[in-house]
Amino acid sequence: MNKLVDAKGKNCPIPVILAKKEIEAGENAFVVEVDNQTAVKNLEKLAASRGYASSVDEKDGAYRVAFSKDGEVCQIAEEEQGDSWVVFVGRETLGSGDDELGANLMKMYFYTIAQEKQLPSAVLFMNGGVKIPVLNDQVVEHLRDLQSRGVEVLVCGTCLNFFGIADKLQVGTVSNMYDITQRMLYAGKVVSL
Amino acid sequence: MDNNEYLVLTFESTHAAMSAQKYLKGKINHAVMPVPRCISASCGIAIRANAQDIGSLRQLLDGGFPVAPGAYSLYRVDQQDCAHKL
Repeated sequence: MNKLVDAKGKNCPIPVILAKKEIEAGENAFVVEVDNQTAVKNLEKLAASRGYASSVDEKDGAYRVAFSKDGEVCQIAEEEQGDSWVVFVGRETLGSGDDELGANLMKMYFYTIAQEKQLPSAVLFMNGGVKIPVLNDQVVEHLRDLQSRGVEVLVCGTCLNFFGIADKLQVGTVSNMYDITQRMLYAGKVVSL
Repeated sequence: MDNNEYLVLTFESTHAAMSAQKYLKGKINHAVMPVPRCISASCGIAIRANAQDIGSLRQLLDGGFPVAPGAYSLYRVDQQDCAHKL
């Protein structure tokens, strides 16, 4: 019988973290039991990204997500994961030293990223970084361009509220720590600015 | 920003680029960009403007522009990414 991981009553991203531990321990087949659809979806995404097949059984409001590994698929999936990357922006300027220079470097960074063919899967804004999709008109334009090409733009809602600019967001989706953590977990690489 | 022909201002120093950017803010549609690879000289910060705005850009450069004429260069970059000094 496959190993059973009980993640009922645990909020996202805990079920994913527990499943990741099993994957990293080399388990080829295991089952994670959860009690909500969001966790099921996240576990399915994790399975796909790590080359595991997954199936779901529901019983009495509990979902059993079964992971099983196929070596060949795994290799492809790992390559895909290695290609994916996300950008984390935790401040309004790029680097430290001079804020005006840093603001210009941030504009140049997004200008350059938008010219590239290999785009990040997501751009994540937190803390002072949330001012960028609100106030920085040039970067807003680059972000709209990236979004139209499939890049997800997630902006920390708590941070927007803190700065009192939640109603002024020009581009992106208001998000939370769970979603932002998830994007980092699934990415092959996180570039932090 | 599309990939059509565009204008680029390059500068001798980063400070000149930043003061030019502050001056142009609100006066003409522009973007801050890294100096295009086809232009080898100058500091790393450049200002991009739309090709059709050449007239209004020239007016701004001639009146009150905070950077001395010898300390910046104006280029037209064509669709093949070749820069032509203006």
